[in-house]
Amino acid sequence: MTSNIETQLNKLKGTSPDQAWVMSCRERLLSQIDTDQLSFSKRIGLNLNMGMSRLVYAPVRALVIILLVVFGFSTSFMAKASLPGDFLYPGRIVIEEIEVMLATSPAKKAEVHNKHAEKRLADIQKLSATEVEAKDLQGAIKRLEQDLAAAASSLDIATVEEGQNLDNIAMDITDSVVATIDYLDQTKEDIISQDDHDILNQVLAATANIEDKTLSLLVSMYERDEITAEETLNKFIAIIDSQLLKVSEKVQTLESQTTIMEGADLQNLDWTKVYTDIRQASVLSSQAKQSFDNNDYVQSFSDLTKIKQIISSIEELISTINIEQVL
Amino acid sequence: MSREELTDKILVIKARLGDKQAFASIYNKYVSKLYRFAYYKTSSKELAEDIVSQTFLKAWERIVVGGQIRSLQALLYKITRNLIIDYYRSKQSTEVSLEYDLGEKDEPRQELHANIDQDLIKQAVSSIENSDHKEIIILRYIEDLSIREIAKILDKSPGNVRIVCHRAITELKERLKDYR
Repeated sequence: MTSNIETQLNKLKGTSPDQAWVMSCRERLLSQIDTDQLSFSKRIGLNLNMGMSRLVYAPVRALVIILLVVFGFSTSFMAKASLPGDFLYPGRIVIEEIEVMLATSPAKKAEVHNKHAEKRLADIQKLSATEVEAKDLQGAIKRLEQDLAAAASSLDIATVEEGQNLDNIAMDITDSVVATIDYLDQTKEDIISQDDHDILNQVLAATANIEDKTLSLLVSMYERDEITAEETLNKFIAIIDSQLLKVSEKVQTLESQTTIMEGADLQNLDWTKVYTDIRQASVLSSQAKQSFDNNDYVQSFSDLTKIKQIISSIEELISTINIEQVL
Repeated sequence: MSREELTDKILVIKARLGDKQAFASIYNKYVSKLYRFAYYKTSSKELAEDIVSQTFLKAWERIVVGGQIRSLQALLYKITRNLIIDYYRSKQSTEVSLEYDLGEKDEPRQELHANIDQDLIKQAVSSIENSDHKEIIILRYIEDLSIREIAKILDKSPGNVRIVCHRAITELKERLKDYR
């Protein structure tokens, strides 16, 4: 009987689908697979499913996922805490680049760059306190410059494109710039290597541009009543003081170099006038601070504006000198 | 590796490389088998057609993803089987409909006597409630698959398939007694 049943069952093989359906289904499938290419995310999903399905036991899957998550978090945490020269430092750079990529707007980008700049400054401070290779320190300083420049550029774009309230970001960047300049000015004395000096000077030059952008931002923020006159002037005094100090140092360096040079062009510069201007700016700076302390903000702002004009004129004057020839 | 399996592997590689004709060959080779499997599991022509169509789409996804496919036949039957399970799960009903559509006209009519026998067999197969038994009856006795091939599809050991196979045919015989 069994073989009879088997024979009968085997005859059911004659059951076949409707040929019209077979044809139409084939055509539909072929056209669908032609146009419906798998998206990247779908491929990833399917691959993950396939990979995981090979692990038979659900607890093993869960354990693997937990381990991966723990490993991922701990590695990224360690990478974030690493310093230049550490094994995980390249990982930290990658994480930072991803953070920048994930920023959704120029304002957010500026924020991220500024956060990186703050961390970089902390790194440099840590590195300076320990014995490290010169190239690691140089690399960190170079990156600090890049972060600050990127933060300022993003802020510029954000100001133009978004026109939104960017006070906090602008203030944060200003603080970073001021802190960087303060620290680098102090560090400059301790650094002996010429390479390090060059890099520091580059950073200081780059920060000067950012300072100017910050000044104009502060003015526009004050005009829009977004910050108080006191806050604006406080930042102004800090930045202009720093700019005055830098320009004085630059003038001194150039003058000492040009006096020992034979080039007539270099000595045509009226150094007496330059020094008179610097002295006048210093006097105005003291007056501006005095006026600020006496709550005479109008006078203080007027003095600071004059100092800025003097600094700009001196910079313009010394920019005519061929620096390479001097050095 | 059998000749059939080797042919399948070549077709999969060609399809993966974008040869639509290779995928069409896979379709031609398996469409009737999968249809019968789905049809005897669901007792519905429309549902079987829908499930088979979805099976090939899912198979295409698996092929293009690029993972290893040990047995194309086993993969296709597994997808069909899972789609049927998903369907009944979503319907929140029993795994199979016990009603069998005797009015199906899609088979060539042969002799009246033979048809009566076949209808009884169909009804008996359809009335098997144990899912494993029914699948094994379809795969082993209708599709003529080997124990090893069935084991691959059902993810069971060949020994286990052999035992279930014996129980399934015994159950079918018992059911046929009632019909005769």
